[in-house]
Amino acid sequence: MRALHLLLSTKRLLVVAFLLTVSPGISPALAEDAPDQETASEATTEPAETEHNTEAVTPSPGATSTEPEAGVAEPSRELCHDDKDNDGDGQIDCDDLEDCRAFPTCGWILGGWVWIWTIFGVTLGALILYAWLITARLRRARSEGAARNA
Amino acid sequence: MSGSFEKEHIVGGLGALMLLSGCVLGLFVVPPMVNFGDLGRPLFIHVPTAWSSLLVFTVAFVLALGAIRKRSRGWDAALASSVEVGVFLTALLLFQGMFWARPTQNFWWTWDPRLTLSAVMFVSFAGVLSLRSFAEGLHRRIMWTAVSTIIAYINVPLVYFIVKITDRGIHQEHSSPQTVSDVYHLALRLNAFAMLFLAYWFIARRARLHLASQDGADAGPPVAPDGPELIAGVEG
Repeated sequence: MRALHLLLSTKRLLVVAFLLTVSPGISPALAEDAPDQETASEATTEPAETEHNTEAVTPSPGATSTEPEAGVAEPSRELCHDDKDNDGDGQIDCDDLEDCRAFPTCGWILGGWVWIWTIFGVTLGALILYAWLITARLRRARSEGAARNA
Repeated sequence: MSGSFEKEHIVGGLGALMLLSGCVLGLFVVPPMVNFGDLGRPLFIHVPTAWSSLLVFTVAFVLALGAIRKRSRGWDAALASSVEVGVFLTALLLFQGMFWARPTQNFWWTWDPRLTLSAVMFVSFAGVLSLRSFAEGLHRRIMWTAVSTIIAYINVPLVYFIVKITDRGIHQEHSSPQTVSDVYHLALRLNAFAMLFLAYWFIARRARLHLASQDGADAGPPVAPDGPELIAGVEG
């Protein structure tokens, strides 16, 4: 039972967790794709140089010669998830097939939200189910124990 | 113990609230990610699940060492519970990864080093639970569980560090707060601690269930013919 008591030292755990949460610079690794060193608002309005998007916005051979030189503002490209017509061709986000065909959320029903809800829903559902199973079995084991003792 | 309020509920309740907040933030509040748009949002639950599963297996490893030394029912219950919770979290992790890879990478599975090692981790710790169910007697059960946990744990640091060893595969190298946009920090931290608190609650409840079930088993004939002295020393 010492192991269990060690595990159950609630106060200690909460204090450590609080200190870690409020301390700056402790959040570990994430975001396979999080924008680096930018605020997200900036990041989401910058052209995305992803594998998908880079491929999608690669200019045609004829357009290559019109690429701007260093220091000159780049022509705007379509960003595929900001509800704006960034490149001014009259087509917004996934409707701009030329630029966004390969972008992950384009081509999926509801922009991929079915996948997102499935992942969150199954995860939360599994956690709730597991908690319920343990609680129900513990209650039964205890009531059986109490009946035996009586 | 059963009649009083059990303190792990504080941690569990806090974890549930934090998970709810973190999921709301991750789903509805933070802006879409540049490379994946809204499909980046599952990372707010996937990454904390990965962290907590690795941490739970690390706890299991420490408990295995303690169980070998103490050989008591309490240590055995805590060890078995932590392995089980770790397996549960790893199953969730693999599910999340597969359902995220399909729309973003166009496959369900690939032999990416970290992915493969995670699958090996899942199978090996599930094997610990399976092996445990075959062991007769408390002493043997403790030893089999603890030794096989230690062997299975060899893979866990590899799962974490493999992205530093090789850059092959779909998992990127470790990020840091400096490489992740500030607006994503809170949702991630909330979910990370939420998963940790919930894992703690699961382990504590599962350990209590182990002990309560064994109490029932002990009411009959002796459970551990090869280790009665261990049972005699158990604190209820």
